[in-house]
Amino acid sequence: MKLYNELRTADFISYKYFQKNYTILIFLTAILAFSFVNIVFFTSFNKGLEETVNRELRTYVLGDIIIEPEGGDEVTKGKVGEDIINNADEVVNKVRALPGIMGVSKRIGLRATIAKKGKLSIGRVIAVIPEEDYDVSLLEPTIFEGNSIGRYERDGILMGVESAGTPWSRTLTQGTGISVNVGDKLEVNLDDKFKKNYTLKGMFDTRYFESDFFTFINEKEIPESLGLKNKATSIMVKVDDRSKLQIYKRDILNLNLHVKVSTWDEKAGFGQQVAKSLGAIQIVMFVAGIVIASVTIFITIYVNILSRMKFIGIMRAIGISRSAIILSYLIETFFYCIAGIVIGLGIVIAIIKYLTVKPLDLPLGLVTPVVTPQNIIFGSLSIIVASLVSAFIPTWQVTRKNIIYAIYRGEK
Amino acid sequence: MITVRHLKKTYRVGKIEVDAVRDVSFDVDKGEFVNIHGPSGSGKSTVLHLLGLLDDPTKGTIILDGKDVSNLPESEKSKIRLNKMGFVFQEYNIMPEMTSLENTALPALMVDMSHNAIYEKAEKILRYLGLGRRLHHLPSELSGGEKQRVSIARALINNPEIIFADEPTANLDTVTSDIIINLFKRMNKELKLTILLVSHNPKYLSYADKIVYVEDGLVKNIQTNQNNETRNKFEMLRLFIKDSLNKGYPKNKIIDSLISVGWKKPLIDNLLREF
Repeated sequence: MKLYNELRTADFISYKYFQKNYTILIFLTAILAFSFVNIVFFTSFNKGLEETVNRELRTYVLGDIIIEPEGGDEVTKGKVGEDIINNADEVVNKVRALPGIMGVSKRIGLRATIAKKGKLSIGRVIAVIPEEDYDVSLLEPTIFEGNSIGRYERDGILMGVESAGTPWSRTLTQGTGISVNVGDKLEVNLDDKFKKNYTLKGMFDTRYFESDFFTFINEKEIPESLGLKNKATSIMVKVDDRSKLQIYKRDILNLNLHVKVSTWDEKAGFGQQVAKSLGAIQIVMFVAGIVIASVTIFITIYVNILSRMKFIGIMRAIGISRSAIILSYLIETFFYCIAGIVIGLGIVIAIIKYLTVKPLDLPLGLVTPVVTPQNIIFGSLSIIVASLVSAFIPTWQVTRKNIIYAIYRGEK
Repeated sequence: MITVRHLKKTYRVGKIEVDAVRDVSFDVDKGEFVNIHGPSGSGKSTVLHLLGLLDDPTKGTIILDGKDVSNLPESEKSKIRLNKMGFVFQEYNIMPEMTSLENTALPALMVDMSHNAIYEKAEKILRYLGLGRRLHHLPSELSGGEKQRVSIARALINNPEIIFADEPTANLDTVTSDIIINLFKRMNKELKLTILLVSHNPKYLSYADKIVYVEDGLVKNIQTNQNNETRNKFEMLRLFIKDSLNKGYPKNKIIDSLISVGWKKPLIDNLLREF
């Protein structure tokens, strides 16, 4: 009963205060809404970025499943051309024969220099069978200038926007430094062993900076002299049901082809690294958001409580318990929090809706923040806990003061 | 009802210690109207605050209904203030955001009483104090006397045994002051409430059953068991001083003549200050 009485007294005091003090309500609600947006949006942005990077990696670099040389790690270690799948055609044919496999593309990655009128660019050339690779990597729809290289294409080359340099590149480094256009003649030196002139057939823009540094040629261009026939540095596999990746992986491993098989998410180390790096920034942003909210609540409640110290003294004098007075401030703060969270959530939803229609165009791809219920719950709880603690401390301090001091503010 | 013995209160102002109350002892009986009287800065308000458990004494004891309450924990004091005491302050001290009815009801929310019962009782008290038409007015819409009556209503809501009133008429005009003091007297008579009134206005000495003269933190004199005859004597004395001053007699002559017939100097000084 005592708790009920204290609760109804506290509730009444805070309710009456709200009725007459809209300014503080608006101010604190705005601050809390801002802090909530700060916490939830950045977490969502990080999640969205991670998903984008993973999607781009899966779509253009890894496929759903990637097959690599047994002792090598072509994608993540970058040992291009050093570790080779020696039975590439056998692997491609056997994997393609498995049920549920939609496409298989072998890739031969080679270090290369590309030169145009004396200007040189160092990059990575990937030799593919075009029509097979387009089935797996979805590269073809991203061609924005010229055409793709076809099955019978010879002397044709396809470049990503970052390889193509100015003005196509979106990164600060302006790609590789050369500047090309469709139809340009380019001298390509593969692995310092084979030099040939190519014509730039087309340019693609995956909006993912790693794949946009790629340059593609037809596998048929690779001369016998390089000894890469029936070889591959990686083989990308596309499946019909991504929820069964582990089953397909097991099926491929059961073929005993002496290769390393990974699902895209097992290889998506870069996406996770990006998320991890941003996670550190996210923690800083989160702490900043919480600190801003806490300090603001603390100062506002403290100033507010100092201005109401006289009335706190009077309430204590007439028998209102300290706990009821503290509770009234906590109820008040909780209300600010709820209002701030509701408004903040509205702002977050509006931003996300806008960014869904118009995603952020970053070098890592088109990013739409991903809001999860966990983000919202975590953000809300963080704001509520920080605010209640920040409100409790000054209230607890001020209600400890001598009643006569509180009423008359004398030095006693 | 209340027994005060050797009460002392020392405040520290920076490095200096100030004795607001040095040695105060007196008794208050149930249903008594006590006027704690004295000049400004004499320590009379501090005595009231200590008796009302709003402050802790440096030394001495306060016995309330046979129980030593001088050094109780704050939570216990809070319960006593809630259930046994009512407070009326000089500056009304009612909540600016609450109506008369809500201000009156506020302390009752802390006790076991239904919401409806609280508001019915608050309304009844406000009507008893002549504020029936001011129930839903905010303090900013009330006159000084009305605010003080709301403050009195709030003090009455939990059926206290003692009302502590600290200079309740200091901010009011003469007519309103008389109304408020008469209200206290009425409550004392009709509700059998013990009233402890702090006032430096000698005009209201005649209302009290007991006058405690406080000066320099000490009790200088206690005048008890005032009957109608004593009260009339006070009133006669007031009128004599007023008349003498109006006739232009010098103050020292008035004082000398009154001392020569047995009146005490502090009382004469206080009455002279009134005019």
